[in-house]
Amino acid sequence: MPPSQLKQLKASLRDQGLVGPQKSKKQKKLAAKDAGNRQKRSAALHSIREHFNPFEVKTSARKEKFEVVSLKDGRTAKSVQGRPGVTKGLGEERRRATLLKEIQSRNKVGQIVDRRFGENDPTMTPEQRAAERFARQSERHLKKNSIFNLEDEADENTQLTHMGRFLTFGEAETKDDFKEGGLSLSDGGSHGHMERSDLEDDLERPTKRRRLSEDEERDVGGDSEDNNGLQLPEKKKSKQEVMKEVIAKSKLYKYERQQAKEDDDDLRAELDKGLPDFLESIRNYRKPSPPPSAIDRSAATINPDRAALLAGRSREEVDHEYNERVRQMAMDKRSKPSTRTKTDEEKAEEEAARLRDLEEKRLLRMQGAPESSDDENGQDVEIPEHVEEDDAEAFGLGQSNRPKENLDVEGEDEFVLDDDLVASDSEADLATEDEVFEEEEPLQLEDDGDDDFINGLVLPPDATSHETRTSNDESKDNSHHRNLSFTYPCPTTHEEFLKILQGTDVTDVPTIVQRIRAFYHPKLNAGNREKLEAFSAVLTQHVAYLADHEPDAPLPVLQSLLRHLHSLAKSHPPAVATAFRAHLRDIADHRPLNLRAMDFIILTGISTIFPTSDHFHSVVTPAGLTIARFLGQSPAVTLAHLVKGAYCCTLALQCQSLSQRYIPEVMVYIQKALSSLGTAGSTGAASIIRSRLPEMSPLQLLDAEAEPFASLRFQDLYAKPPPSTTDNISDNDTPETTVTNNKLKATLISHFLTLLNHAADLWRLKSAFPEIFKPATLLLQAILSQSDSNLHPTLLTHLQTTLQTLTALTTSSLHTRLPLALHFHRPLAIKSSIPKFEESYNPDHHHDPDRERSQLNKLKAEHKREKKGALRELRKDANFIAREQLREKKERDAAYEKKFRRLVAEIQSGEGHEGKVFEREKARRRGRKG
Amino acid sequence: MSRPHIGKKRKWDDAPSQSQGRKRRTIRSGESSSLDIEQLEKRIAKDPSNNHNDVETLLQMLDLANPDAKLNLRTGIALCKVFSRLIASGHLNKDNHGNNQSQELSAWYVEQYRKYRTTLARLLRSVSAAQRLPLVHLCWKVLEQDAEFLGNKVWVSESMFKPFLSAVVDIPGGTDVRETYVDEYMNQCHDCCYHSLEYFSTHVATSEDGKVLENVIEILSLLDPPPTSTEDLNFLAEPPTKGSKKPLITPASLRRRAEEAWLSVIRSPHLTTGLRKSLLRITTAKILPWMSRPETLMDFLTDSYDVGGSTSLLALSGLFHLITAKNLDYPSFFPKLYSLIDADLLHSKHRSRFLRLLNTFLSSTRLPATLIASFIKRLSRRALFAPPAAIVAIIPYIYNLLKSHPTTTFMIHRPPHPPYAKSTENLGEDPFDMSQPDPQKTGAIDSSLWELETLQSHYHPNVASLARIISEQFTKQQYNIEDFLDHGYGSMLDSELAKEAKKEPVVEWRIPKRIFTRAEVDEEGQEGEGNLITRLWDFG
Repeated sequence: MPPSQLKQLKASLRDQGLVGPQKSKKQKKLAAKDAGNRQKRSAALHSIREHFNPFEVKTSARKEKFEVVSLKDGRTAKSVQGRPGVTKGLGEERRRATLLKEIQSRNKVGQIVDRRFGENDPTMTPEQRAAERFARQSERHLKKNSIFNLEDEADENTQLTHMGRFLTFGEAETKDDFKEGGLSLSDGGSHGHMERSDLEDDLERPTKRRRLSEDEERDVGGDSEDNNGLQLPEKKKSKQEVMKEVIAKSKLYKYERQQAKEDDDDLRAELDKGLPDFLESIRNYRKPSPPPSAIDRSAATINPDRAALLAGRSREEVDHEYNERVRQMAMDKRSKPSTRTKTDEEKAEEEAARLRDLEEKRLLRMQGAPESSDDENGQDVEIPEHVEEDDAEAFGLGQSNRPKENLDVEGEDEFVLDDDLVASDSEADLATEDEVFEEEEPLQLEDDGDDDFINGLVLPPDATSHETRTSNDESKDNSHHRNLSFTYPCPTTHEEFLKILQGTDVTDVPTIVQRIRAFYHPKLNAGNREKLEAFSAVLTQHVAYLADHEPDAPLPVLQSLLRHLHSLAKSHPPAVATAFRAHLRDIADHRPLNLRAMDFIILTGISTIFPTSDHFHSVVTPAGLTIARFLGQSPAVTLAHLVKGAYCCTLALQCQSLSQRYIPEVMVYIQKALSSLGTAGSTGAASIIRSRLPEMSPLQLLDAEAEPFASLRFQDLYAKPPPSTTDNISDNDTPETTVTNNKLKATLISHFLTLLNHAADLWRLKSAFPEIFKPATLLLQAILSQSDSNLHPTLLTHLQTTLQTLTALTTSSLHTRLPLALHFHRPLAIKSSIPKFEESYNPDHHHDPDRERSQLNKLKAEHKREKKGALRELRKDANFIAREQLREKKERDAAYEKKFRRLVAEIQSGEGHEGKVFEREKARRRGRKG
Repeated sequence: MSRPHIGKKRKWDDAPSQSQGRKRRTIRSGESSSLDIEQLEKRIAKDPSNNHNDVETLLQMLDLANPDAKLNLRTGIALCKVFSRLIASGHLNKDNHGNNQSQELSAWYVEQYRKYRTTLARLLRSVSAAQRLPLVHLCWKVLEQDAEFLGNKVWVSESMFKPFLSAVVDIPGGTDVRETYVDEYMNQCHDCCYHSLEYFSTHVATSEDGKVLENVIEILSLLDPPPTSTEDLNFLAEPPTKGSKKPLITPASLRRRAEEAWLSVIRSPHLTTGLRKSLLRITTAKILPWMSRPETLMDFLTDSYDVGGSTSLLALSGLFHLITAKNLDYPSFFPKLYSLIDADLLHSKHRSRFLRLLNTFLSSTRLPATLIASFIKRLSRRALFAPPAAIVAIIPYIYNLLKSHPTTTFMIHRPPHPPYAKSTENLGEDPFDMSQPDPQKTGAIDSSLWELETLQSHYHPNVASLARIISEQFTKQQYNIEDFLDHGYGSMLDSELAKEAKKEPVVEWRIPKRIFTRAEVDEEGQEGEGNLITRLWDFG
C-alpha cells in the first residue's frame, strides 16, 4: 500500500530540497539572489505538479497484479503509459506551425490573394490554366468593350490617325531608336560602353564572342538597360579590363588598316581590268566580241550528263529530282565487306552440324520430349479444365465430342464386307511415258534434296525476267508443252483446278503446278502466301483425285506432285497438314475399312512428307491410326483385301523404321494372312492366332507350281480388283485366271514372309520379342509341316529361312533379357505425423503456419491501424480549425466592439462637449440677458 | 328384363319376310360398300330381333379371303358395335323365361357371336401389317365386352382369348403387335397377364415351332417388373375368389406363373445359341426379378457358362449374381473366367462388358496373389495383339490390380538374384505357362510383364504414354476403369482429328527424290535400302 497523496507530496518536496529545515534570512536572501537556483526550483515545482496531477499522466486502466501475471513476455511493467497533456500540447504546437500557416496563406501568394483565373481550381493542370488564361485574354481583346480604350488597341490594326495620316514616327525614327539607346548608353558616361556602341556602328560583323555578349546583355532585359547605364559609372575598372580595352583598340586599328589595304587592292584590280580596253581605245583597235548566249554558257558549266537530264524539263523539276537523288545517295548504306567465301571443308562441316542438329531435334520429338525452347516459346503445359477428374483425359483419351456413329460402336469381330470391290478385273496397264521422265529430270537436278524445293525450281531475282527465263526454258526443253499457257490463275477450289486442267495431258500436271507455284511465289506478292496455302489444299485433293479417277495416271506424275506438296508443306506446314487431315477425316467418316487407291497414295505421301518417327504428330498419328484400323478391323477374306493389307503393313513398318515402335495390328494381320493363305482355313494353325477367325473363304494356296512374282504391284491396289477376287468366282473362271491367282497368292505369301522378317528385325530389341513372335513361329511351323508339297521350292526356302531367323532371334532375345526392374525409384518418404512444436509459443500471437496468409493479416492490421490514426488526426485537425476559426471570430468581434465603443464614446464625448458649449453659451446669453 | 323380351318378341313377329327379302337383295347385288355396312348396322340397332339376318350378312362380309382389309376392319368394328348393343339389350342371354322362339334366337345369336370372334382371331393372323394394330385393339374391345358378359370365364373360353393370344404369339414379324399387347394389356391387366403367362408355359412346351419360342421370349422380355402388393393389381374381369379362400391372382402367384413361363422357355428344345445369348443378356435385368427361386436358373447359367465364347461372357453376370446373392458354389468359376480371356476377347464387342465384370469379380483383396498374377499376365499377353482401345482399357486395370495386390508387383520389379528370382540363369525364359488352364498353377507370379514394357513403345502416343504408368511410381491409388472403357478406333481417330494443331506441324526436311520409283542407280545406298515400300512393291 503506497503512502497517501499528502505524504507523497511532502516526501517529494523534501527530496527536491524545496522544503527543508528553517533557513536563516541571510540564507534566504542568497537563495533568492541566485537566478539559477530559482530556475531550478521552479522546474522542480513544475515537475512535482505534473507528477501529482492525475490528469497529466495516463496509467493502465486496470491495477497491476502480481508480477508474474503482469510481466508477460518480458515486457517491463510501466505504470505510466503516456502523457496526454504533453502530447496534446505538442500536437497543438505542430498544428499551429503547419496547419494554421496553411490556412492563413490559403489562396494567397505571399500576402496577396491570388485571384487569377483557375488558380484555385485543383482539377486544372498548369498547361490548361495557361491556355485558359490566354483564351480569356484574347477574348477580352476581341470584345472591344470600348473604343476609347487606347491601351488595348495599341497592337491592333486600328491605329491613330491624324488628317488621314498614320500617327507614326516613321521608319527612320524607329531605326534610330537603337541609336538612341546607344546614345543613352554613351550618355551614361561609361567608357567601355561607349566603346562598344562605337564598334557596333563601325563594324558590320562583330566577332562572335562579342555578338554573344551583346545578346546576353540584351537578354538581361531592355527595361533594366537604363538601370545598367545608371549603375555602371559607380563600377570602377580593374587594370585587367583596361588592358583588354587597349588591346581591343589596337586590334581594331589593325583591322581597319587591313580593310583599307584590301579596298586599295580591289580598286587596283579593277583598274587593271580596264587596262586592255584602255589600251585598245588608245590604239584604236577593237576585238570582235564573242556571240553571247546564255545556254551555251550554262552548257559549258554543267557536265553533259546533267545537260541530258535537263533536256526538255524545267529547271525546278530537275533540281528537285537531283536533290532527291542526292538524298538517296546519302541514305545508301555504306558497303560492307561481304561474308567470306567458305572453303569446302567448312561447308561440309556446317552441313554436318546442321544435319546433326536436325537429327537431334528428331530424336527429341521421337522421345516425345517438348520442343527445345529455342524454336518454341516455352512448352505450353496443358492444364485440363475439367473439375471432374477423368483419368483417361490425362492420356488424351477423352471422349470426343462428335456424336457417335454406327462405326464407332466397335464390333471388332463383326466385319463389314464391301462387295463393291469384288468385281471383274482387267489388267491395269501403266503407260510409262519417257517424256515424263525427261520432264522430270531438270526438276530433280535442280532440287538438291534439302534446299527449299522452289528455290531450285524457279525464282530468279524479279518476276518479269523470271517469267521470260522459265518460258525460254520450257520452250527449249519441252516442245510438247507448247500448248500450255505460262500463267494460270491460282485455283482456290479443286473444281477450279480441274477447269484449268481441262484439255491438258495428265503428264503435264506437274509442269502446270510448277508454273502456278512460280507465278504465285510468296516473295512476288503479299497475297500469294494465302493463295498458295489454298492451292496446297487443292493439290492434295488433286493427288487423291488423280489416283482415284485416273488409274492410268503414271506414278511418276503422282510422285512429282507429292514432292511439290512436300515443298509446299515446308513453306506452309499448317495448310498442307490441314488438307491431309481433312482427307483422313474423310476416310474415317466414309470408308475406314475400305481404303481406296487414292487413300494409299495419300497415306504414302504423309509417310514421306511428315516425320513418322515423332512421338506425336498431328498428321502422322491419325494416319497411323487409320492404317491400324484398316489392318485390325477389315476382313482379310479376299485376295484384294490381302493385297491392300500387305501394302498397309509395308507402309506401317516403313513408318516405324526409325522409331521402331510396335504395331500389334501388323503382327495380327501378317499372322492372319499367312494362316489363311498357307493353311486350310480356320483350323489348326489358325487357332494359334485367334480361336475364331471370321468366316474366310478358303484362300489356301494349293498349287505347288505357283511361282511367286518378283514383287507385288501397286496397280493391284486400284479399285479395279487384282487378277482375282474370290475363289467362288475363280472357280468358274478360266484356268489362266486361276494360275495368276495362285501366283498372286504365292507372291502374297512371300511378301508377308518378307514383312515378317522385317518386323522381326525391327522389333528384335523389344523385351517381349519372344512373346510377339511365338504365334508366328508356331504358324510357320504348322505351314511347313502340313503343306510341304503345296509350296513352290522358292517359297519353301523363304519360309524356312524366315523360321530360322525367328527362332534365332527368339533364343538370343531370351538369353539377353532380364526380369523387369522398372521401379528403381527413390523411395517415397513416409509421411511424418509428429506434431511440430514452436519455440517461444505465445497464445497472444498469431502463429499462422501459412506464411502468405500471416503476412496478409499483418498488412491488414497495419492498414487498419494507419486508417484509425489518420482518422484521429483528421478529427483533431478539424477540431483545431474550428477552434481557430472561433478564436478569429472572437477577435473580430472584439475588435468590432472596441471600435464601436470608441466611436460611441467619441460621439458621446463630442456631444457632451457640444452640450457643454451649448450650456455655456446659453448661460452666457442668459447671463448677457440677465 | 322382361320388357325387352316383349318388344323383341313383337318385332320378331312383325316382319320376318321383309327382312328376308331385303337380305336376298343385298346379297344378290353383291356389293358390300361401307355405306351398306353402316346401313346394316343401323338397321340392326333399330330392330335387333327382326334383322338378325343382317348380322349374318355382315359376318359373311367379314371374309378372310376378302382382299379389302379396310373393309374387313370396318365390318369388324360394325359387328362389334352390333354385338355390344345386343349384349346390352340381353339378346344373347339364354333366358328360360322367354318363349321358345326367343330362346332359339338368342342361341343363334350366341352362335353368331362365337363365329364372329373366331373369325376375328383368324383375321388377325392374315391381315397385313398396317391393319394389325387396329385389329388388335378391336379384339381387345371384344375381349372387354366378353369380360362383362362372361365374367371370369373369358380367360378359359376357347372362342376368343386363346385364339387371339395364339395369333399374337404366332404372327411372324409382328413385333409391334406384341409390344402393344404387352404394353397396353399385359402390363395393365394382371389377370390378362396371369392367364397369358399360363398359356405361354404350356404353349412353349408343346409347340414344335422355334419361332414361337422367339416370340414368347420377346413378349416376356417386355414385361414390367413384377408387382409387389395386391393393391397394384388391376383386373379386367372380376377376379375369382373361390369362396373364402385367398384370391387366385396375387403377386406371388403371378410370379409363379412367370417363373413357369421362363423355365419352360429355358427348357425348350428349340433354344438356339442366338436365343440363349439374348436370354443371357436379359437375365439379370428381366428374368431374375420374376424368379421366386433364382436357383432354378443355376443349371441354365452354368451350362451356358460352359459353352465358351461370348455365351460364357454373357452368362457371367447372372452366375455371379447367384454366387454372391444365393451362395451358389461353383468351384471352377475362376478357372473358367481365366479361360475366357482368349485371343478373341479383346477384339470382341463384349470387351468392355467383360472388363467391367472382371473388375467386380477380382475386386476382393482376399484373392490369392497367384490367381491375380495369372490374370494380369494373361491380360497383358493378350494386350500384345490387341487393338489400342483394348490396351488402353487393360493397362489401368492392371495398374489397379498391382496396386491392390502388392505381392504381384514383383512382376514389374524383380532384382535378378535368388531371393527374388528362382535362379540366376535363364532369366529371360518366361516361367508363365499360357496353356495351363488353372490360374493357380500358371507360374505367372514368377514372371515379368515384358509385354507391358514393350507396349510402352506402342505406335499410338496415347497408348504408349499410358503404358508408362507401369514404370512410374505408383502414387495414384486407383484409376477409374470406367473412363478407359468404351474407346475404339473410331473414337480415338475422332479425338485425334478433332484436336486443333497448336503449333505448326513439323515437316520432314528432306524431300525424297523417289517415292514410288525405284532408283536405278543407288546413289544413296542408305535410302534405297531403307525404303521398304520401293523394295517390296513394284510401281511399274
